[in-house]
Amino acid sequence: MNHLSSPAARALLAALGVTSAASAQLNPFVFYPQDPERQTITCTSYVGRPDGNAQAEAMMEVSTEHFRGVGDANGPIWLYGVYHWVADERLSTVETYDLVVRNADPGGPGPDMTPAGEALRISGLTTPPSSNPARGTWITYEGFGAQAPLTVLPSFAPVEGRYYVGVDLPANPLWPASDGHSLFRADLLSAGTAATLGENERLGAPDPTWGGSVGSAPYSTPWTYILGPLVTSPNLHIGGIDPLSTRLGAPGANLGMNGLYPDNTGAPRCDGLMFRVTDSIAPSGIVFLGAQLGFQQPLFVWPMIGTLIGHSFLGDENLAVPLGLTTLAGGAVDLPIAVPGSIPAVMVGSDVVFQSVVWDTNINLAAWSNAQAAHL
Amino acid sequence: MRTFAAAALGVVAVVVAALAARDADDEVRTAGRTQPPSAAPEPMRDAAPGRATGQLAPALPSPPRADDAAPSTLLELPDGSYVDALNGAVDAPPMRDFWGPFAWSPIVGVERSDAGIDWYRHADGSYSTTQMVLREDLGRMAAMTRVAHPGAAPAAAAPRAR
Repeated sequence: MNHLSSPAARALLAALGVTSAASAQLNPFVFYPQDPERQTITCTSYVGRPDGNAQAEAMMEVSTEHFRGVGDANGPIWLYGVYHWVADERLSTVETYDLVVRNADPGGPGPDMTPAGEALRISGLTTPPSSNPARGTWITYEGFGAQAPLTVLPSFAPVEGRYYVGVDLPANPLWPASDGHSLFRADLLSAGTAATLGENERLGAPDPTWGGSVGSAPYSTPWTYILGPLVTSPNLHIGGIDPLSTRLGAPGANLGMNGLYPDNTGAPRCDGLMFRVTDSIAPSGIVFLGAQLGFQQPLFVWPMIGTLIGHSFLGDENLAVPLGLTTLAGGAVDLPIAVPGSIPAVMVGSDVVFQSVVWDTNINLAAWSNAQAAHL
Repeated sequence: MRTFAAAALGVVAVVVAALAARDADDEVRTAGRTQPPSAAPEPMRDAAPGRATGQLAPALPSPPRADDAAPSTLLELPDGSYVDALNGAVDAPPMRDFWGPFAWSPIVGVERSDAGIDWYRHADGSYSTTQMVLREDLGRMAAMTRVAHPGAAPAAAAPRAR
């Protein structure tokens, strides 16, 4: 069996320059205030659906405006499945749903909701059996495997560098009163709900998720979901630190919208920044960290072909700014970048990009994480 | 942001130098890890669990096939053993890739859901299954391996916000 988690298989494939290697599980690329695999989730506003109990696809946006290199396998972008948390109002009845990946709408923001916009649809998946009539949660890993990933690049070229990963929820008039499937969500401050927990973005930040139905116009939704593709690249998320906020429900940094859109207006917020690198594939790997102003053209380090997977979006050694090195513990490490109040006003308005390399010293194989921008 | 000004070397250069230094030392070790698994006898298929019976046979402890290219109806578990793939899946991805950072929990039963899908039930309350799905992007049916772990209680249901 060819499995992604075999160091031998990954080393061999990496040597061929076509994919990455690993020694454990895949990484869900989730954009949410907390890491759902390793942190206790205290920031959830609600469980919800894009359009109440009507049918709708709930989608997270993966955009090169914010992220690059998610699932980078030396050029191809491969997705190996979808991860999401199923909130079920009645576990004892099976819920049915589809997985979808969509290209961007070439005529506007959001996903292409035409049938032609579907890069992937897996129909009719169902939740596990249960005799429990209460509400509950399933943490789901839905995997395609090494022989059948969804090829984002080069098979379908994301329009304007955007694509959408989601779950199609059928209409369910029983939701939320007595049954039905919804997703964990963290509401933006701009959502206009009564949520006291959730995202903590800068005023004016765009919505990060979308909803829609086939053949109708998509609509953005002001929250993030515990939802994302399964990839082999290490994850990097920027965290925003706002000591005035209690919306995380616990101490720490907001790894979602607060890191992407920190508030440094000084009235009254002057957020700090940190970043978190996670990797289940090399959970004790050595992490090299770097930064740059703005995304750079993807750079492949040819001397390291077969040993270093993916691309730098920080430029070469003359451009990238190293921030040091550290080690993953249990597949994660948090690094401070700037304490609250320390980001100079002159940087407001700039995009600072962060990226890391995770080096598995056991098999001498390294991989670039995704790169992420902080829109200061 | 004083950290930004403290750079002395590019991160790429650091990575390249560090990795290059390891190349010679690790060549033999890495090559050793790329060896294919040794051949093993075919499993006794009759010993594998049937569907929706609740009866389980012991997992097979070793790689089951000498011919790695032949279609497999087995599923590799995170502990390295094998059981029958469920729901007629062929060449199902190893569960190890999709178990997540949870301690491995052994299979204790097989249950069929109301949707007619067979699932392995694990000791910790998790469920797992395999199934063939239509992949129009590939132009064929392909196997999925699916894992569902019980999670924290859901938050309150949202008001209709759209």
